[in-house]
Amino acid sequence: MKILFINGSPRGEKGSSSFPILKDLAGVITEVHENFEQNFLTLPRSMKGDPAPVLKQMEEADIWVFAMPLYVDTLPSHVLRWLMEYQKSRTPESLSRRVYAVVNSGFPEPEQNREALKVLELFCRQNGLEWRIGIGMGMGEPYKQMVQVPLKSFFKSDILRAYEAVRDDLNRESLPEKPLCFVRMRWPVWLYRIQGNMGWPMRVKQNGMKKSEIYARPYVL
Amino acid sequence: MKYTVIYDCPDSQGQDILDYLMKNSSDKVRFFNIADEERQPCAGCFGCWIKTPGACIYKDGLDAVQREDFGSDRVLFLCPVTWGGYSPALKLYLDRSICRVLPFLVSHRGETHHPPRYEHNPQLFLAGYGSSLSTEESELFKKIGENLDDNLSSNSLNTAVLSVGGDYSFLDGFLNDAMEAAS
Repeated sequence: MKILFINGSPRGEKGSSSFPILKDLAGVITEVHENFEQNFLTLPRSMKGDPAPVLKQMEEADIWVFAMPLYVDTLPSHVLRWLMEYQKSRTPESLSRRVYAVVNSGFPEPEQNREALKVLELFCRQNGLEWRIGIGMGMGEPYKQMVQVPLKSFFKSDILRAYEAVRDDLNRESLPEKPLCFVRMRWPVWLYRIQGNMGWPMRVKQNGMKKSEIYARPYVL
Repeated sequence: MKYTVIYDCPDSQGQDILDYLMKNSSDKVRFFNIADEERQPCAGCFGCWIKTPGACIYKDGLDAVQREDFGSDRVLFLCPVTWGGYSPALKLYLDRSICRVLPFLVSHRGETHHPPRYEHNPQLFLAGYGSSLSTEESELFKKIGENLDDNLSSNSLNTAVLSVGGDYSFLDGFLNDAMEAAS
């Protein structure tokens, strides 16, 4: 079986969450499915190049596992464009395959990813693909910074369970036990918000501006 | 009152709806076609929050649309319903428009969201269209509209799914005031 891990972050492998999520998920899958071939694909943000190599890589896989950040409630626009390219390229001979996805949000509430996962599910159903499990992840933004914290630790135990649910479903014949999982790091929401809010003015200052310029309103008429 | 229509209508159904809008609009309504495959999608760089606060780093014409959008009293977004969500072109516009909110995290209706950048925010209308849309797709589109409302803290968004040649009273609701403004 060939698994294709598809990175839908506009920041590619430099992104803060999608790529490390896929790496972690691939590691969990390897624990049980050592003989599965694993490949990684980062969806190009620009559509200016030839789409054929990307579509070919997608078409050759038996299983797709997406990870992408939540952008304005749904999928990033370049992911939508690639899904549209795939839809246009499909033929009656195109294979069905299982699809899994992790959508992660910088907001702490993992349920804010529900509609994005539903869009992916409808895409699958309209294109003869088998939607299996969607993981909505909250507090996704610091995932990369926390990558050294083991998945087996208390902080990430819920995330690990969701990854294991995907792993155990890959060759299950019956319907998934839990088609939607909403998880986040075990960390207080109030503390996450404070930490999230502290850094922005500093980053503005580092760019040579006053902290107060973060409130700029360039389009006020 | 200032009215703006931001649309991605790549097919005859969308053109039919657009024709209806244009035919019934006064000159107070401005139209912007955002379907341009050459435009760069959001880079996820946060530049619009920390490098050029309030404005996207890309200058490819969308900044002019945003200026009209943010300064309007009423804005209508129009696109084909795509797997229950926005079309890729409208989504590109919305992704590139997160400069309309601030990066901070605040509580809004029991969830975490970003606070608005501007004191004045337009009343938003979101219209999707399509033929043979399932109830599931239509309901998802409306839910995504509610989420957009939460994200923009506008408390005013009106969402509808239109079928071509069907009931366009939603568009009339958007336009009525424009016609009054013209009279």
